[in-house]
Amino acid sequence: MEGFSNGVKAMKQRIEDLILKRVMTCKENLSETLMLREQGFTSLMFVELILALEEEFGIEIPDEDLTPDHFSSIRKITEYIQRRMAHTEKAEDMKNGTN
Amino acid sequence: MLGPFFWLYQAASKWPQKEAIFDEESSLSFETLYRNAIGIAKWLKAEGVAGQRVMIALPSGVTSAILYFGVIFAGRIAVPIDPLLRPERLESMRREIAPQWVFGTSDLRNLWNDPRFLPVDGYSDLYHWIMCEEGKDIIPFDDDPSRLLNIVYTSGTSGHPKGVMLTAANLEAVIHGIQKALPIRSENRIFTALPFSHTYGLSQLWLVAKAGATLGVVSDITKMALIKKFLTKREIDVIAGVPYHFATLTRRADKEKNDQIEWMTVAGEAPFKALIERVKVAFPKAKIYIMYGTTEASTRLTTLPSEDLDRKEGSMGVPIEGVELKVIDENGQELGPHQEGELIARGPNITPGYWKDEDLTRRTIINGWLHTGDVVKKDEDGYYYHIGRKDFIFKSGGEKIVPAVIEKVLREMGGVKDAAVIGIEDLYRGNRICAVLIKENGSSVTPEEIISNCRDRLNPLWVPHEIIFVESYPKTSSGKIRYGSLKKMILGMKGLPR
Repeated sequence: MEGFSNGVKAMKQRIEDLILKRVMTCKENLSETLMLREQGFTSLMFVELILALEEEFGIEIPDEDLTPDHFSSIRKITEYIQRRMAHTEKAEDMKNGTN
Repeated sequence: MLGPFFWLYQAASKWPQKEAIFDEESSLSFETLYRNAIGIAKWLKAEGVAGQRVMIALPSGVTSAILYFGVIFAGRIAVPIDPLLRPERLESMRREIAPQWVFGTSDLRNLWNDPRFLPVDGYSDLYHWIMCEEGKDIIPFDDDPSRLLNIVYTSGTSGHPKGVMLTAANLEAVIHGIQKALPIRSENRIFTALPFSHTYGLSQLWLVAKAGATLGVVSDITKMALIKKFLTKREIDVIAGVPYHFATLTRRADKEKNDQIEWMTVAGEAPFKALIERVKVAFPKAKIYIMYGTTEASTRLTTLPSEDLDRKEGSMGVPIEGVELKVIDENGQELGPHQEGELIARGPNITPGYWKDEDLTRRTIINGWLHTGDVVKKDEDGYYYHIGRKDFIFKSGGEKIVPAVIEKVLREMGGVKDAAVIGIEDLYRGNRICAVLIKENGSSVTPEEIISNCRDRLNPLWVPHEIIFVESYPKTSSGKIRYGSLKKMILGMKGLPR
């Protein structure tokens, strides 16, 4: 996976495990390239996924970010979570005055 | 003069410029919706005969609404289906329906590469049909109440979807009952993310045509950014949804309130008390109407008046006008208040039967009464309460799960002595599928192995979410598993309220 550091690889795995364990127990593994919808993801599963991601990564995902684009594949989710975590850390740093 | 197209015609005469329906792509006035539907009807009438079926495999929205009204006006039978269903399901429906035409999203061409398949991805794809000037003249409205207008699929008790036939009389009766039970006004602007492939979603189109209200549709509840925009910027004052829609909309109940919403309807599954409390916080001015019904009843059998929400907690309400209800025991004897039994229903909104399945029809509609298969009880005031299913079926993620089917698969696995499948309430799914197993003596089979096995043998949406091992089941004197007691036992083990 060119262009991905080990940290991102680990996050991707964490996300895939989360989906398989909590949201889509019917699957053995997920394809990286196919869209989640193509692998049987329903609207209801997406809703559960958002909840699971918020809990797992300690972040809040605002409704405004809930567009099909951000969560359509494992890669997209990983990119979004990374950005969101960076945003959350920055906000906390600013709050704590450690910026 | 009967049915949804007639209602639309009246609405277009009364409120031609009023916004009828909008989605993320387009917005139509009643007059435009009416004219567009006529264009579709003209094109359909150019060939073929009345009574033929037209499948509409599109997400809910302006485009599918135009097609729905147009197909009915052409004297064809509209069969709305969910384009996201698995290909096998779509194909088996198509074979059963034997449609004259199928309007569908273009990706379905992989499944139906056929001249009868008409790809439609958006409003602009309808132009060459809407603009149709040829075709036979539009004949006067049909007055035949028994004319079949729709076939709507419901997942049957064996998991196989069944086509429910709905006539003009059915729809006239149900819309009358619904209008009486809800404070619907033409000024209302309704938001929904419900699919038109189910009668609850379809009934939003009916309401809008009959009452002259406005409908805003988003095809997918996950498009929350868009939904939020609709709710705040498009002056929505009514929401129609199923419990998990409301669970999603009230994620930030304490931080984000919407006091524009005047009333809402919740149906599809029984909502939890916790969800209702959250809804009250998120939508502080809204009156909440819990409703119950089935496709076989053209969507509606009962409604709980909003003023009774607290004093009749957990109730699904009272029959809508025109509907008669009875609670019966296994021998068909009518039961009194507080006695649990099967709910049967009679009324002009009850389907004449299932498409091409007289056998199932005969077994379901007996002496004019629809046997719902729902176990209920009523109180002394005539308010009904849902207890469960006669055949222990429960809904999980919108699917009707038949425990017997999963149990059979589980019992056939190595290491499993016996299996019982129950539904454990879940805020989003309705129920999680919980397999309660008794292991063979000395077996070391693990939950992971069981689930892995299930993946190979079951429909993905039927794979259990959870495996629990027990020593024994509570049983009746005749050896039948007592599912109610088993569920209480499992909830007790988990420390959850029973």
